[in-house]
Amino acid sequence: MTADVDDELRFHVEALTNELVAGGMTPPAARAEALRRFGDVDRYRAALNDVGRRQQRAARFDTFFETIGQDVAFATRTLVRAPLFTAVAVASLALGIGANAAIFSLADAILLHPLPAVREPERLATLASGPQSYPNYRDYGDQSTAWEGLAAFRERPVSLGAGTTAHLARVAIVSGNYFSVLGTPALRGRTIVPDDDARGAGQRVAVISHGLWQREFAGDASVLGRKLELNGTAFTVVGVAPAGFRGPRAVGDPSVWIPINAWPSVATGEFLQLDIESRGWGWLSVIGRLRPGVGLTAADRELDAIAERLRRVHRPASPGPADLELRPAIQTVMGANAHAPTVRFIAVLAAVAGIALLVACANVANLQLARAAARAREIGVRLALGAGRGRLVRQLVTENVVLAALGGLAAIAVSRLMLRWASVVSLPGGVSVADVAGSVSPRVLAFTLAVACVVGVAFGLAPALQASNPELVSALKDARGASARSGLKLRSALVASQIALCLVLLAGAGLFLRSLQRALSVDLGFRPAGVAVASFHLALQRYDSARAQAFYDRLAERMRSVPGVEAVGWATSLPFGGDNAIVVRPAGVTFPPGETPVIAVTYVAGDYFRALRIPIVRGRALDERDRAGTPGVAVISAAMAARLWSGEDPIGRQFNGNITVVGVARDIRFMELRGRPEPYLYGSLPQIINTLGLEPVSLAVRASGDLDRIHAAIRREVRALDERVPIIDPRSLEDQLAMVLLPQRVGAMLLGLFGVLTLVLAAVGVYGVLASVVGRRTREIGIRVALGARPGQVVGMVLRQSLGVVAAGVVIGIVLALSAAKAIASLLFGVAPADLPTFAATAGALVAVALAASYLPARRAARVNPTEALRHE
Amino acid sequence: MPTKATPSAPTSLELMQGTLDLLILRTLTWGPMHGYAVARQIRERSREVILVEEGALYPALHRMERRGWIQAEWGLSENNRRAKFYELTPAGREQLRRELATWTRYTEAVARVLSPA
Repeated sequence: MTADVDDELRFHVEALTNELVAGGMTPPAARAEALRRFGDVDRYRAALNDVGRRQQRAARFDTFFETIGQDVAFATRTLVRAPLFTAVAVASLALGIGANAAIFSLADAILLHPLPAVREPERLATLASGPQSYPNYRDYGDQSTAWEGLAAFRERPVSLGAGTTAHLARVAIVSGNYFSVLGTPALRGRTIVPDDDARGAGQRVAVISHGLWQREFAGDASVLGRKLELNGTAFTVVGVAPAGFRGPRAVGDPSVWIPINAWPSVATGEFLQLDIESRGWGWLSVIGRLRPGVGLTAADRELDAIAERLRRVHRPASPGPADLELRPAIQTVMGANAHAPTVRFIAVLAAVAGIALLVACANVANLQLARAAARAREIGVRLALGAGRGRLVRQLVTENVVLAALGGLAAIAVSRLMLRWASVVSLPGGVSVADVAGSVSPRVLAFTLAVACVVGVAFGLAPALQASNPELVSALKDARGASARSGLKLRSALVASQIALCLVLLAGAGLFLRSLQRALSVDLGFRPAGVAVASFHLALQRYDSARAQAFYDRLAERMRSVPGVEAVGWATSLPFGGDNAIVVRPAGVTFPPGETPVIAVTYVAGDYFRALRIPIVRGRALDERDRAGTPGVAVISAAMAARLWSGEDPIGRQFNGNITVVGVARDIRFMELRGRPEPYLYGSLPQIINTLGLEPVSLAVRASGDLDRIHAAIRREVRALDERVPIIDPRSLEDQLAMVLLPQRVGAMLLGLFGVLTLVLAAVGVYGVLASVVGRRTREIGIRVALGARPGQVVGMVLRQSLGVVAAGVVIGIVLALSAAKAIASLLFGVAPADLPTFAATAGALVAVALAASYLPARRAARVNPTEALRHE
Repeated sequence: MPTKATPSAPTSLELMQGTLDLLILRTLTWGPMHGYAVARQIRERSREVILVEEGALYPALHRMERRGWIQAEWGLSENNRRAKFYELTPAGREQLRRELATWTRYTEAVARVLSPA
């Protein structure tokens, strides 16, 4: 450019000089005159160069975008020409990125944006120190200044009816300002407003969830004004909540919202006698919207002061801690204390997905390197023709970005599938994944594409730099140059790291599988197989205890006559189904203060012991003789006998006044699979029917053959007795136990799935590297064969090379896996984190797979024909 | 012409930038020419009244090239020297038409003001 400017100016001055000389001047005078007329040459030269530079910059900018278009088009053509490579690379990336997108969907839904249809959730705070009484809540709201509004809510199960059928649903009992505090407008009609919730005069109005509207009313706009029955009381539908709205919790998923002051007309069971104006009973969760500029601590201090004042005025009717704790509402969506376990759970998932992505990237990088080696000649030619190295690198990176973009798009489909499969999984707190993260949001989309781009650039760069290494100019002469060797080194490192990561995943899967195996082989003390269970909550149908007892008796009787049924029993709690405990004071034995035994209890009726096959080791089981009004009896577990009467015969002993022990049952496990079985107490359900008989009760039916048939029979018989009674959670006892081992199951499934995937990827990597090695050494192998090497020796030579890479990967993998195993130690059962058999088996399997993958290249090496190999060059 | 090769400074006119552009564009309507030829044409056709400091042509030429009014190409001069030839582009012709109109209006207006009438 500068040279051109100089040329142009010089031409002008010379031409002028020549003209002046032709006009008669002497050359020196002419030159001086020409320069004078031209003016300040340096200044003009500088000005021209300046104009030139500006022009060049603009041109460079234009070509940058122009050539990006070229690069993308070229990359696309190249990828289309290598369909197998493209398919494998895109599939790897789709799985890796898809797993991350799925996990991010979950994290986004649970941790980042957990409250759909709630305005500015970050300004909401929850009272995390337990439920509050209604009058106390009102006083907090009236007396504090920190809040724009303070709302109260409580979720309860109800029997929700329209017409003759009823099903179990959750109702949210909310204060009149609940929707305005959350900032949630109605989708149709209106929300509940303070007028609906006037003290002592609650309106029987209901807002229904979007889901209920779709399910029960087919999204019909005429739903407004229709009637709903909650535990038999009619409510008028006044509005529909927006889709996705669940209130301030991710758990529970209410179908109906009603005003607090309308609740007493619906309340049953424990709430039957509830006086909502009592300060003695805290039952409401409290959530508030802070005024702008008010901090959590200031609001907390103010609430503490109000609570303290209330306590002084209303003592002793107003119990509860004066020290109230406020927490940001977005941390209490899984329930007050489930935040930390949820975060941990998601962190583990994210780690697994991250590993999967790393392996996928290593795989793509490896494939790229393999192609780069194959393309060495092409790249060499392009370098020789004057393509800049920067341009070549950009070209190769573009190819990776295009790959990653394709992978990212496919990943969105993959993540949807993964979330659908994962919907069977419950999160801590009992929420189904599908409920919280059913769809891929624009945020997730953005996240996925961002990951794809980063992956594309990051993992495209190394192979690109490698491939465009100027040394490769030697490739014009020989495709097996020095840098091809160093490319191989990089590829070996990638394969080794794949093997290491694969080992981490497989060892984790192995540990979980061993945990499951150990857990399933634990002697439970009863036989869960072949038992159908279902629960009933008759309080919701406004049964009294006499009708409830009749229902239990008649249903048991009807079920006993079903073919194949061996025994039918009832229990207030099943093993691993939540438990109840009572203080036991045996007659004649005194325990030191504070050591009075608190023992887990279930109240049973019918043939419960036979239904679960719990052996009675002494005395008798509870049976038909034990009715309301007969002397109180109990069966105790062997561990309880030992705990209370330390080896003496417990039969005939009494506790808690007049309850007599009539039998001793074998110990069962009902809560924990670890350690020794805890003491357990079986009371008689008929004898406590007046106090606990209206709590949820479970039916247990032992039968031979298909349990689905038994569940059908339960439905039939319940409908015959009272079609309005909903059957809660019908399942098999085995399924119920499976829930206990859910973390291990999910862990084994997830790690196993990704482990096998990465194993396949690693095997492909090993194969690829060895195939290149053999290709590169064809000539050398040919010489060896010509000099008399036997095929076995050649195979051994190739396998040794493979073993080196595999061994490095396995060693690194074991180190990583050991520290990963420590992190999941609390989820393991009966297996040490450094379980030798697991690690040995995993490492062995990996080596075996790697050797199998090496076999094909090794065999090809053994079949090298020396004459051809030597002519090859 | 030779004797007039050194004109006295007072008779020359200083040119505003826009005017120089106009002169260059007009000059180039006769066909592609190099910078020296442009300078000579302006000098001769103005009967040596307008004397541009010849170096000043070049920033103007390059600027107009960048704007797309003229395009340049290296070629050989009459006596076989390498020289850069400038040529009007359609955009340049359009620009010339506009500037000529403006210039004509301007000079007419000035003439009207100055005429004794």
